[in-house]
Amino acid sequence: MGDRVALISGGSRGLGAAIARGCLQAGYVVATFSRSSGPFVEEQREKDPDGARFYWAPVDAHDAAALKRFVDAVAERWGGVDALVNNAAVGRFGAFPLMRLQEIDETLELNLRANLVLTRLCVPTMISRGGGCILNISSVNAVRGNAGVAVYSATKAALDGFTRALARELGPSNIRVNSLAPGYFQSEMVAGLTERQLRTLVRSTPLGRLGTADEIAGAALFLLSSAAGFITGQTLVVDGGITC
Amino acid sequence: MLTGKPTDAEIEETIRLAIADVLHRRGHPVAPFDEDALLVATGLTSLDLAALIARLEQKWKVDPFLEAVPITEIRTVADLCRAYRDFVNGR
Repeated sequence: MGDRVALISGGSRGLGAAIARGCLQAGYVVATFSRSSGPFVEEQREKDPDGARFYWAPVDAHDAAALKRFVDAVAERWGGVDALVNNAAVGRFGAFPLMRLQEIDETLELNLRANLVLTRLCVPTMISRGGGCILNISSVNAVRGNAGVAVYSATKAALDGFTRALARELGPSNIRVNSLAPGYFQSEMVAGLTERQLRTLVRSTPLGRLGTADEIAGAALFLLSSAAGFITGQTLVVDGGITC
Repeated sequence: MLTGKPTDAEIEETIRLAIADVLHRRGHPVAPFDEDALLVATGLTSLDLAALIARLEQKWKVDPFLEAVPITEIRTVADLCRAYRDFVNGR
């Protein structure tokens, strides 16, 4: 049997890049896409110019045909997918009554539909390979109400529902499906918060600080690993205790 | 995309063998079945059907059920063969 294949959406930066790096260190070969490249992708391409263990392509996740071409290319290259991480997402923050309809559509499209489409494309290869693992990147906003993130929260809560239903459906095919709900960690998403908002978040967090992308990625790697072999249909909250 | 289109007879034979193989791998008994047999009567579960379609996609590089054909319209072996024949031949 060859190397395990991990497909990670939105793996060029932030949490996606941290998970991709962790998967490479754990012995996976990694396929990832994003709209544009970034320092992590360039670093990997420099290390691995032939793409033996790392494959990146520019893909707009809104485009289902492009997603299919990417999954087909991964199957052609490495035979299929063993682990899928649905990470790509966009944060649209602001008062819901003032949100433009186009912003609602774009958030639903990327945070929800693209993940469902990508999963639909990958699951058949997992079934034919005898098993696999799917990890949906959710959010603490899926499990706790917060003002200003209504649409984002709706998409993430929907992903958690998707996780539970799919875990029931695919368990007999030896495919585990889980969600990971990060709390607030150093990322582009919190970069837009004011100092005051950040201080409030830190005060509300029992561990007294923001998380790091590596800490969230560590939990993701655990859920992908055989150590989590009897865990499916669950949402693991990794948030420094902010929701406890 | 598909290169070197299979004939209708090849499609039917491939599907017939693939059904038998999926059933065998799942440890289900493989009884003879004809074209009019309901897929559930062959012993295929919905997940077996997904495995079957994944296998056929690997062979022919097409999945008629991704966009073109609702899987709910496929009840018999003949329905399944027709879906592939039509898709492969662009009907």
